[in-house]
Amino acid sequence: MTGSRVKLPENAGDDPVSGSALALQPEALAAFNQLYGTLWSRGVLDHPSKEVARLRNARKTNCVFCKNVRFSQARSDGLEESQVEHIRDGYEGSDLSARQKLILRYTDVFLDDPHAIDASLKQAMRDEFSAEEIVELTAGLALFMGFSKIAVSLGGMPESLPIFEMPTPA
Amino acid sequence: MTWVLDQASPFEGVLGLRANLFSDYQAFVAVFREQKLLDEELMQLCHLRVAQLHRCSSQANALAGSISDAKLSALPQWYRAPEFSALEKAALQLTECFCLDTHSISDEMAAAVVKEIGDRGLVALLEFLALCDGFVRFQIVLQTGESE
Repeated sequence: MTGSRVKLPENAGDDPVSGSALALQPEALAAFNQLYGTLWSRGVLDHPSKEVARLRNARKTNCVFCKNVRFSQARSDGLEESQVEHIRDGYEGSDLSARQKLILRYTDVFLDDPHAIDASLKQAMRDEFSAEEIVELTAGLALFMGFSKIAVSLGGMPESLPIFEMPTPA
Repeated sequence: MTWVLDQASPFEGVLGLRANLFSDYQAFVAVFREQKLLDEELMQLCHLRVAQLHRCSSQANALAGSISDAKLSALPQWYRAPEFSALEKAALQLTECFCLDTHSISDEMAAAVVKEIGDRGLVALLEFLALCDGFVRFQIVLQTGESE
C-alpha cells in the first residue's frame, strides 16, 4: 500500500468516494456526484455498455479501487462476472459480444491515442450506437479515466481489494 | 467535422446532444472558478499544457491568448524557465505525469504542489486535470470543432 499524499478530512463520508480525499473539496465533490449520477442514471446508453468501458479503463489505468468495484445496475441488467473476466488484453479472441468488443476497441483508442480513430471504427460505432449514445459513452470515458487517475495520483490505495458491488451512482 | 453528426459542430454542440449531461458538466467546470479553487492563470496554463501534450491545436490555440507571450514560448521547457513560479513548475510537472503516465507521479511531486497550495489545492488541481485530460481527449476522438 502506498501512503496517502494528503490527509483525509474529518468531514469525510462513509462510502469509498465521499470518504476519500475528494471530500477536501466538498463543492467540487457535490458537482462531480451530480454529473456522475446523470451519466449513469439519467442517460440513454444501457448500463452494461458503460460498465464494460469503465472496467476496461480501470484495468488499463490500473486503479485498484476502480478495477474491483461493480455497479449494481449493470449486474442487474445482465453483465456477468464471467464476461467481466474477458475485459483484458486479448479480448478480441474471447466470447464477448461484438458490441462489447466494439466498446473495448473504442475505449482503447480513447485511452491510447484518440487521434488514432480510423474510418472503420467510426463507421462501426455509428452502425451500433446513436449519436447521443456515442456522446454519452465518450463523456463516460473522460470521467472514468480522469477519476481513476485521481485515485492513483492521491495514493493510499491497497495493493489489492476483493471485488465488491456498489449502488450505481444516481 | 465530427463523425458523430457528419457535420461541423463545436464541443458544446456535440456534448450538448446529451443536454442534462452537458448542463452538469458546465456546472462542475464552473465550481473551479466560482469557488476559486485554483488560481485562474494556473488553470489556463495547465489546461494549455494538456492540449499541447495531446496535440489538440484548436484547444491550444483557444487557450494561448490567456497566457503571456513570454510564458507561452517558454512552456515546452518550463522546467528550466525563470518565467514560471515554484507553484507553476510543480503543477506543470504534475500535469505532464498525470496525462502521460499517472503511475510516475511520485510522493515528491505531490508534495511540491502541497507545499505551495496545501492538500485542498492538490485535490482541486487533480480534479481540474482530470476534466482537462478527459475532455480534450473527448474533443479529439469525436473531432469536434477544429481539432482535426
